[in-house]
Amino acid sequence: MKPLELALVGCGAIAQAGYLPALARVPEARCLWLVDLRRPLAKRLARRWRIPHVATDLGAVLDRVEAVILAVPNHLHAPMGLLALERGRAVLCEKPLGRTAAEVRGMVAASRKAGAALAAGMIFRQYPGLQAIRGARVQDMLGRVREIRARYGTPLDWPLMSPDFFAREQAGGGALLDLGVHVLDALLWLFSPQGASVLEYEDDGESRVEAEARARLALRLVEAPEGVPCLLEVSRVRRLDNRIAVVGENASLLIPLSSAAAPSLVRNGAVGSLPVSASPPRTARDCFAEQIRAFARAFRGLEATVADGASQIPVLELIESCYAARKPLTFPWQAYAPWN
Amino acid sequence: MRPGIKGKRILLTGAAGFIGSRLAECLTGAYEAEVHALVRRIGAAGTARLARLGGVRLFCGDVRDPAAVREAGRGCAYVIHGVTGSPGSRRMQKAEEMDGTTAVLETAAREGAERVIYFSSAAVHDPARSGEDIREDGPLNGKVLGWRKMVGEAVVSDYWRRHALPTVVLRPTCVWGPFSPTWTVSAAELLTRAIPFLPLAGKGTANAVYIDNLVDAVYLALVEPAAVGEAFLINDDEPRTWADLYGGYARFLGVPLPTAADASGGWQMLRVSAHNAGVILATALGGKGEGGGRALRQVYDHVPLARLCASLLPQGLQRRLRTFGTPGEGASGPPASPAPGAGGFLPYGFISRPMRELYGSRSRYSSDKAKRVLGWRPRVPFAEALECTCQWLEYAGFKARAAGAG
Repeated sequence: MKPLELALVGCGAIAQAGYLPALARVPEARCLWLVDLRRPLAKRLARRWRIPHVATDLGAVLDRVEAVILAVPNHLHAPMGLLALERGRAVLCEKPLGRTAAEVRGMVAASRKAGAALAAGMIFRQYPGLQAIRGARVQDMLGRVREIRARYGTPLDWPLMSPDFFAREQAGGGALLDLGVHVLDALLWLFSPQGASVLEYEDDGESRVEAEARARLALRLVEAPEGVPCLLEVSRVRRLDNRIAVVGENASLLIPLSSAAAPSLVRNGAVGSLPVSASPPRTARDCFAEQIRAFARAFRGLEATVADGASQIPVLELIESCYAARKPLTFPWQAYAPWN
Repeated sequence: MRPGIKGKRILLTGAAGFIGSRLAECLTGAYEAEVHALVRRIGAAGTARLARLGGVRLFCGDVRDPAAVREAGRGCAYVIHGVTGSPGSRRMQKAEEMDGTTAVLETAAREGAERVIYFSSAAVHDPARSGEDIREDGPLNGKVLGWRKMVGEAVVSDYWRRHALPTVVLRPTCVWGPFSPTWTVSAAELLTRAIPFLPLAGKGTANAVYIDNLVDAVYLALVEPAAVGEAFLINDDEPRTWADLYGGYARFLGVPLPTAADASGGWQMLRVSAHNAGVILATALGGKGEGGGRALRQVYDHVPLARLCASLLPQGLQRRLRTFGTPGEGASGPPASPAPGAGGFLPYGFISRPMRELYGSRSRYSSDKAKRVLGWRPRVPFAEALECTCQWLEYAGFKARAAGAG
């Protein structure tokens, strides 16, 4: 089958660490263009990864490719995505698909109108552990689900090239939008709740972008329509246990938010094996490669594990509801701060 | 009368560091100043702390780049130069300190800054050669970090004498509290891993200052007219010994305070390295290993020679090694590495010579001058500072990790 011919837009950290190495090992896709305003950087990376062409203008390359991967700052996702979709090009866009639900809805509408695939780079969906849990009958394993706790965070250490990441206007949010979007997408994808609502939300963002956020949600599962309480914590400044813990009346399910670790079942304090089997662990690079493969399948109209654009509307709606309910997060160790 | 700094613009270098980010929080939150934060790396946790704050504007650049400093310093009435510096050869560090400090002071002079604070270190006075009562007028004879700060102080002194730039030098002792990488985070990591690191059973004199007490001193140095042209040691009255401080952490974490009375000497390092490397190799050959990542982490934790070599790596790589394979990096389950003394490993307290000297010193740095001239007092008492720090340790996951390791 002819490989999907595409352009990678943006030469920043995620392109260099994720997409470029992955593209080099996925025969189902062929990157023909590297697009970035910083032409010397694009040329250097194109030479390194054997990409034939570079450009500084996305509009100029759209007629020469079938699809684009958008790895640009958040505020460019919607305008660039719309530009590509309106010209009938498929789009795989780094997360979050948009800064707001309205941006995502606009992209989804454009995708439907043009008949072009739209996918979001929700890399957790390529983690073997999460794929094993997806579709499993959690209630059969755990009994009635009492609570879900999802915690994801590590001190930020990422070769960012643009301060846009920290600008509210451009980024659209902080840790909740950047990290929480992964966790919320995973929760909705894994458990397919009939609905979700925000009970309480706190972050430390003052008027800018938060480094830490904590939300109490209610997920209305099919088996628990009254709503299961769900605690979500994300952080850019401290290491959390990075997993989703599903606490049931008979056992707990621990789902690591990692491509390299398998879920486990804890019953009476003892760790046991799962009744479902997971694929072997993957590296982060494998996951990016799988995501591109899945996108190529979605482009051909085949079933794929990539997150389609419409799946991101409820995720962004939840994030918006959190921000709308924001209360300041206070820390006990600030008791003697000079402002107190 | 002291002028206030409300609404004033402050250039803060080294802003993404532990002290810098707390200073930015307090300068904007308590004193309502506007902070221009110059950071070298955008994608760091310290920058994430800054980016939350309404009163902070981020600038990305190196202090050695005069254009970047000029851009960040535009319109600043105050300058706080808080860069610690990066590791490297002595020559590189000296050049970095001279060039960086010169660029910052040039900008301060151009902007007509009302006050420039230079963050030096108490380490400019070597406790081994300065007697038991160390004061600002004692000899500047520092080693390791100290000599670098002596280079910076010389540049600052030159600008004060020759250009009448209103400078103040602060020489804090070991700054601890929430987010402190060395005196809180590293210490808690060593405690939770039961790695001996404290000689003399911790009875050496602790010269340490709680972060918020240091912030108070910075504020006073900014606004007190009599501070200009002076240098101040900033040291809390308590804790008196390292066992007071680290024992407090250990009690909270529910772990013993391991001391390293026998942790010295090259021969013992070689002996322990050979023994523990043998244990790791035997485990791997016997098929009982848990993967290359964990073996690597065990080498780092239990082979002191490897750890010594790792200490020569850039700090970012060292940080990755320290946290590699730890639950929370995605992996769940048992700790990557058993505690020393367990699993057939011999314990070895890895402690560098400068740290051994620091922990073993009986000298005390005096803050009398700061109290007399600035009116500074350690506002947060030791017990309360310790309680706040322990609350932070719990929040940062150390208590859970200590419980897991136990």
